[in-house]
Amino acid sequence: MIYLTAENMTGGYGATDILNGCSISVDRGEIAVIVGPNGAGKSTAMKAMLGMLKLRKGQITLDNRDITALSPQARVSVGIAFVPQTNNVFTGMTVEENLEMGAYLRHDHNIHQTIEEIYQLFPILGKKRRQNAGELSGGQRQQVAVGRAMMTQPSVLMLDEPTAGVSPIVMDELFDRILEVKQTGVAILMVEQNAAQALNIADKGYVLVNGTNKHTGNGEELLANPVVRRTFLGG
Amino acid sequence: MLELTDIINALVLLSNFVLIPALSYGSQLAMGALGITLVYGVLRFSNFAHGDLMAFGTMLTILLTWWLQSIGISLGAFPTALLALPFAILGAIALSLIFDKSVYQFYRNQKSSPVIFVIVSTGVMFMMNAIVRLIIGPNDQRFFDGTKFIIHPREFKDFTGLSEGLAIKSTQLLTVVITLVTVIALFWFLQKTRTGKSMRAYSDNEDLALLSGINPNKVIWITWIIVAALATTAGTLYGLDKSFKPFTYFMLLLPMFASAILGGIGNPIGAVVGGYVIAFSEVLVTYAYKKFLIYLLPEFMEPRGLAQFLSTDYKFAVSFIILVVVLLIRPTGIFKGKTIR
Amino acid sequence: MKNLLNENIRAPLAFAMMALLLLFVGVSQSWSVALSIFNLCLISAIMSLGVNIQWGYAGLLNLGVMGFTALGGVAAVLISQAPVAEAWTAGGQNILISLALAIVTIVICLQVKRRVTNIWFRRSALGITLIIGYLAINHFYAPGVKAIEAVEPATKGFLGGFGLPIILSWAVGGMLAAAIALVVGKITLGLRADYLAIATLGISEIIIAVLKNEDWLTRGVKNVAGLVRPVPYELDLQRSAWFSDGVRWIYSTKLDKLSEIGQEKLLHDLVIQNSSIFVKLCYSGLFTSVLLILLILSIKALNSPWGRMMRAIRDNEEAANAMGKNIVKQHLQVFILGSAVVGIAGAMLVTLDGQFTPASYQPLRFTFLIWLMVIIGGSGNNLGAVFGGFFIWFMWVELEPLSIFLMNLITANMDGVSVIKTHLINSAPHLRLFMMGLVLLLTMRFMPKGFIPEKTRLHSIS
Repeated sequence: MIYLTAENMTGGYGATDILNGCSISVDRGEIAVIVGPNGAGKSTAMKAMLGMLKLRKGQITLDNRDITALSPQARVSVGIAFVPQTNNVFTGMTVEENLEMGAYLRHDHNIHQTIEEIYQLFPILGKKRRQNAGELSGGQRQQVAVGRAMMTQPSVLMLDEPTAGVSPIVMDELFDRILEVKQTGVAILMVEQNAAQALNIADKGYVLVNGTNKHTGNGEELLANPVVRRTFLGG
Repeated sequence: MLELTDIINALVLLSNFVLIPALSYGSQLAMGALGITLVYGVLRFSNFAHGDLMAFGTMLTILLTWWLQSIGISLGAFPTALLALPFAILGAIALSLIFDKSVYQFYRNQKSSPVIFVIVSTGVMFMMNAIVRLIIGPNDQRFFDGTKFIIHPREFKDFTGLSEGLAIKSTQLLTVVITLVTVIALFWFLQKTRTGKSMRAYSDNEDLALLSGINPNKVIWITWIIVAALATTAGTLYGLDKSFKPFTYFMLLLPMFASAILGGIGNPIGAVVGGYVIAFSEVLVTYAYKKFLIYLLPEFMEPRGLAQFLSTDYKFAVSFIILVVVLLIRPTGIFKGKTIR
Repeated sequence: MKNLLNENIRAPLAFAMMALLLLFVGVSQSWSVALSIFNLCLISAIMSLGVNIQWGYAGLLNLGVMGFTALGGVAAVLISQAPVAEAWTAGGQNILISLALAIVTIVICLQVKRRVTNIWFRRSALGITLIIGYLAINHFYAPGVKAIEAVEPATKGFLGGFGLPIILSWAVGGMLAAAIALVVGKITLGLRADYLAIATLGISEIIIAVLKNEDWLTRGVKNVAGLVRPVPYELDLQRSAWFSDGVRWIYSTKLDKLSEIGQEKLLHDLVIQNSSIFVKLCYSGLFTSVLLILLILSIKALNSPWGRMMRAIRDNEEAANAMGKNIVKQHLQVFILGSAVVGIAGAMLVTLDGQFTPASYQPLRFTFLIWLMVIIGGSGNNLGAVFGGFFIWFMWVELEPLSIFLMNLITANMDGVSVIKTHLINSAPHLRLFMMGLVLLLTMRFMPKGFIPEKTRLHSIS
C-alpha cells in the first residue's frame, strides 16, 4: 500500500459535505499536488488528512497503520508535518527559535544537528538565524515555515499553497528546495494555486472538483490533458 | 552667586523626593504591569482582577507575617514579610488556577470575544475583592518590621554637613533589588528556556504553537503561576513601602494598565519601561519644586507658589493622560506590543 | 414549569416577582423602607437603561458610569444652590478669565493640529501652546480659587449655583454628561473594546478627583448639603392642616375606636409616619414618570431603523463597515445618549439625597454594580435593563441584613467572645460583594443573555 493513503474521504464543517468521497495518496520520495478550482475542497482535503476536520466516511492510513482517529497533534508525533498557508512562522521569534519550536515534541539531543541540516538545505536561514522571522521577506519566511515543519524529521510534509503571494523567482527557488526535501525520502503533499508550475515538479497530480477526484495522473499527463489545460490551467 | 553646596543640596532634595520614590514606585508598577502584559499576551484579555490578585497575595503575606511574628520568628534587619512571601505566592497561584479552571477556561474553549473576558474578569474582581475584605477588612494595614532606614536623613546631614538630608528606606532598596532580580530571571526564562520559548511561541501564534505540539494548558498554567508570583511580590513590596489597603490596590489597576499599554501591551520589556515612565511622570508632575528652585535661582526669581504642575490629588490623571496620548499617537506602545518577545 | 421559562412571559413574571419582594419588605420591615428601596430601584433602573443603550445596543464597554453619575450630581448642585455673591466678586472674574483662556488654548491647539502639516513642527507648536496656555491659565486661576475658597469656608467657599428649582437639573445633568461624553467619546471611541473600558474607567476617576479637589466648584470633600427639594418637607406637612385632615380621614375607622386623648396621640404619630411616606411617594411619582418616559423612548429607539442599524453594527462591525456606515460616528451618538441618561439619573440621585458628597462615588457601587444590573437583566433588552436595575438594587440593599443574619447563623455555635465571631459578623457586609461577583459569573456562564433576553430577530443594515 502507498505510504500515506486517504480513501473515500467524505465530510465537511456543517450540514453539507465539502468532500464527497475523494481519495489521495502519496509515497515517500514523491511529490503529490492537489489542484482544482476555488471551492473544490483542496485545502479541506488536506485538513482532513491532518485531522483538523472530522470525516463522516473514509479512512486514512500511514505506513499501513490506520490514523483516521488521531488528533492533529498525535499525527504530528507520528511523522506528519504541516505548513499552513498564512501565519506560518512565529514572527516575534528568531529564525533559530522558530526551528527550535518546530522540534518541541522531540526530546532527543540531536536537535541542533537537525537545525544545521535545515541550514544546509536553506542557506539563507543560517545567515539570518538571529533575526526575527517577522523581519524576513515573504520567500524567506516560507523557508522558515518549511524548515520549522521539517524539524520533527517528518516522513510526510504537507504544504498549503506555499507559493501564494510570492514572486515567480522566489516560487522557483522554493520549488527547488522542495525538490531537495523530496530527495531525502519525505512524502510531500501540496495544495497549489499555481497549478501549471506545481504540476511541473509533481510526480502525481489530483484535480479535485466538488470534493471528488476529477482527474488523476502524473504531472506530465495532466499537463498534457487538453481538458485539464482548458479548465484549470488557463489554456 | 550660585554656590556648590546649593547645587548639591538641590540634587539631594530631588533624589530624596523624586528620584528614589519614583524608582521604587516604578519598580512596583513594573512588576504589576508585567503580570497584566503576560495575561494579555498569553491569555489574550485585559485582566481587571489583577489589582485584586495583588491585594489577595499581599493579604496572605500579611497574615503569615503576623503569624510568624506571633511565634517569635523574624528576619532581623530584613522585614519578616520576605519569609512569608514564598508561601503567599503559593496561595495566590492556587487562587489564580482555581479561577482559571472554574471561570476563564470555559470562555477560552468558547473562543469568546475579549469584551466578554473583561466582564468576566470584573466578576472575578468582585469575588477576590470580597474575599480580601472578608478576611482582613477594608482598612489600612502595616506589616513592616526590621531596619527602617539604610541612610537616615539626620545621619546623612551630620555626616555631610548639608542642610538637606538624604533618606533611603530599606524597603525602597529592597524593592529595586528584588525587581531587578525578578525581571532578569523572568527574561532569562522567556528567552533561554524551552518552556519560556514555548510561552512566547503560544503568545505569538496560537495555531502554529498547537501545530508544533506545544501544550496550551501547560503554557496557561505556567503563565498564571508567573503572574501570581509577580502580583504577590509587587503587592508585598508596595505594602511594605507604603501600606496595604484593598481599595488602593484596586486603584493601582489604572497606572499598571497605563504602564503596560505605554510599553506595548504583551511586551514584557515594554511593561518594565512603561512602569518607570509612568512612575517618574507621576512624581515629577506632582512634586512641588519651590524648595528646589530656591536653592538654584537667585533671590529675585524665587517662586511665590509651590511651583507644582498638578496637585498630588491628580496623580491618577497623569498616568491616564499618558495612556490616552499613547493610545492616540501610537496604540501599539513604545515597543510594538501584542505578543511576548 | 417549562412555561415559566418561556421568554414571552419572563418579563411580566420578573416584574411580578419584584413587586412581591417589595410588598414583602413593606409588610415585614416597613412601608417607609420599602419605598426607600423602590425609589433607588427607579434611579438604578434609569442608570441601567443608560448603560444598556451603550452596551446592549452598540456593544460599547463604558466603565466610566460613576463619572457620568457624578456629573449629574454636579448639575443638581449648580442648578439649585443660590449664587454666592461675595465669592463671585472675590474670584469669579479670575475663574471666568481662566475658563476663557482654556477655551482659547484648546481652539489654538485644534487649529494647529488641523493646519500644520509638518509633524515635528506641529508637535512642538502644540507643546509650546500648551505650556504657555497652562502658565497663563494658572496665573489667573490659582489666585481666583484661593479668593473664592476663603469666603466663609465653613459654609460656602464656592461660587454657588443659579438658585433655580432642582428639578431642572435633571435635564441639565443629562446635558452636562452628554457634553463631557462628546469630548470623552471623541478621544476614546475607535479604540478596541477593552482599551475603551480602561480609558473610561480612568476618565471617571479623574472626574471624581476634580470634584473632590476643586472646592470653588462644588466645595470638594466638604460636600454640599441641604439642597432644596422638589417635593414638600416632612415638617411642613406635619404642620399643615390639610395633611393631618387627610391622615385623619384615611385612618378614621381606626381612630374612632379610641378615646379623645388616645386619638390625639395616635394621630400625631400617624402624621409623622405618613409625612415621610408621603414625601417618598412624591419622589416615586416623579421618578416613575421619568423612567417611563425614558423607557418608552428607548424602546422606540431600539425598534427604529436607527436601533436596527446599531445592533447590526454591534453584531457584525466588519459588514457594517463594508456597507459604508461610519461606525465611530454611530458609536459616538450612542455613547452620548447613554451617558446623558446616566447623568439624568445622577442628578435625580443627588436630588433624592439632598446632598452632594464626592467621596461617596465608588467604582464598585456606581460603575460595576450598574453593569451587573444590565447583564443580569438582559443586555440589549430595555425591560431587562429596568428589571436588572430593580432586582440588583434590591439585592444590594437586602443582602446586607441577610449576610449579617447568615453570619450570625454560622457563628451561633461559636464562643460568645471569640475574636473570629466578631470579625465574621463585622465583615458580613463584604459578603454581598462576593455574592454579586458570583451572581455575575453564574449569569455569564449559564444565562449569558440575562433574565429577560434580547428578542432575537434578523436585522439588516438599511
